[in-house]
Amino acid sequence: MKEINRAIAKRTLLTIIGGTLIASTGFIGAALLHGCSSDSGASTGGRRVVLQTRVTLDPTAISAFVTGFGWKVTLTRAVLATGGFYYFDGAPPLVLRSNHRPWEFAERWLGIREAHAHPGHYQAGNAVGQMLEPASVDLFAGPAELAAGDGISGFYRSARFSFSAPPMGALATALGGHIVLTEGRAEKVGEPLRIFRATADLVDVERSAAAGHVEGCEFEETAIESDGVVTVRIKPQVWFDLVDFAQIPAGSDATPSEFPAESQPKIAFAQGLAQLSAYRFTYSKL
Amino acid sequence: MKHFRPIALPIALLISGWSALGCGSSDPTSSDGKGSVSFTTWGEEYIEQEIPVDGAASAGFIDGWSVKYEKFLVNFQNIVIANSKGETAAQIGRSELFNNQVPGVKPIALLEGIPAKAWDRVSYQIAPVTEGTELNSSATAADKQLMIDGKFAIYVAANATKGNLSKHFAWGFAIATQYNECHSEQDGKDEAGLVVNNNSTIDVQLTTHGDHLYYDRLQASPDPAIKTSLRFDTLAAADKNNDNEITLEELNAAPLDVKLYDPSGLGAATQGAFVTSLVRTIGHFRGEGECTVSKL
Repeated sequence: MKEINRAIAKRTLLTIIGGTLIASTGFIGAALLHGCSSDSGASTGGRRVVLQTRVTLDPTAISAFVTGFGWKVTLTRAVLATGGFYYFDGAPPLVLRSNHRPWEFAERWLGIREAHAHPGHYQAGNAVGQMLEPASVDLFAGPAELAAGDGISGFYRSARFSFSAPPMGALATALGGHIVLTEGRAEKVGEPLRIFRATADLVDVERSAAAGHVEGCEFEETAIESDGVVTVRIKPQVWFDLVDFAQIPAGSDATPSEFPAESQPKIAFAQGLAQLSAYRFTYSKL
Repeated sequence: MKHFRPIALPIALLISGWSALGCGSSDPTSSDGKGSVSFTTWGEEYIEQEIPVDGAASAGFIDGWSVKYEKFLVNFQNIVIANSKGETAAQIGRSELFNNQVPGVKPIALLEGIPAKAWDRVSYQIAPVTEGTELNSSATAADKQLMIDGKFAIYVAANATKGNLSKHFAWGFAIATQYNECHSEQDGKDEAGLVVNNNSTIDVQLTTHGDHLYYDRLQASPDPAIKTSLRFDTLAAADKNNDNEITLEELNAAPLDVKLYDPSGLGAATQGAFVTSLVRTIGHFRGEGECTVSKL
């Protein structure tokens, strides 16, 4: 039984293991001076690159989507307060697409398309890029251009998405102090229509994501060699996947139903905001 | 134990001067020596004996349940020793079915003649059994047929008890999982893959963790009051017809309770989907070591 104790004691420490976080441009400068990247396999790591930042709604959420509880949700509004984004060379715990390293062609050929993972065992590796400016974004207003970030050339494989409070930027007032504000309609056979307004504060998300940092998001694996654009695609359907709309009143256009504190919808929505699968990062050349 | 020779090493010699480039290699060996790697599997005491009730003397289920496995079938295949420079030292393409409820560490293969150096990309798969799957002595022909019929990669059968309550379950998982970039702690430091030394054999255990099916989250909560825990109450409650047999169908009909569980990015809306996702994480590396887990 001693061995069992040892094993479980170690496993209950399950946590996202942060890697070497380079939290300032000065630190990235130090990495540049060092001249050698990590063991990520990038052969040309170390040059400074400018990374424009774009946040956009995932195309699958523009129209209605169906949640894990079988509700058909149509969003009409989704505003959020974003914080800094950080990029790492460590593999994400949840690989949604095939990898693109040349030597892994066989795996692609074998058909890896989607992955589940072991988020508790995520190791970020080295920080290779960042965007530090907080902003506020309306996902239904088209792609939002945020401040430019910077990084070093090399492999990018995972990212940290973060919320910020209090909200900053042009939509800060509209957010009313919340970090996320959404509105929409939820339908299900045999249930009356729900017209809802869902909000979350940083303290809600912090139950699942410390300081509102969502670690281990997928950064579509890329060997970045030059300046470009990092696009963050947000999938609100993940936010609502476990929300049981049956537990809120029907609401109306004039008075949409809100998620009461400590209710299942409130907890599920906040938990959804902290899911790494809701945020996917990609890179494209300028 | 099967003995294998390494497959071709197409690039190995081309980059032997890597360290001279000044970017440094952690490779502790630089000679032309060779060594061996012995792959084994083990289910630990959790699978061989039981997962106990959590208590002062033992860690386990926090809600008073204990689980004793009757069977823990797992099919390993396609073990690869390679590195991040594109070299492959060895590959075992065959698959072999094990019952890790049977006590003891079980040999998978002995790979000889591996160039003595660091191999930082070790991977393997747990995939459905086929007619060509070999049978380890821990498993039976009936086990193999069960796996083929269900297209299972993993099959577990167990009894769960709590006081006078008793539930049985037998769950087969028709999933295929790739374990990449395995790493583990060796001598207090994280080691990617493995290091082969001259004229010696290292033991590399593909450990299976039988407790993972019952976690309430994989991503630890930042709230210290919310501990990552093993739970069974919700699984037992999914036995809607109360016949004391919990089926996967019943789990698939039970919504995940967000007040107790966090899907941890696994995208699971039901207890069944969550358990099925957790099953993908049973494969480990050299005890507590881990791999990047991908759906095949």
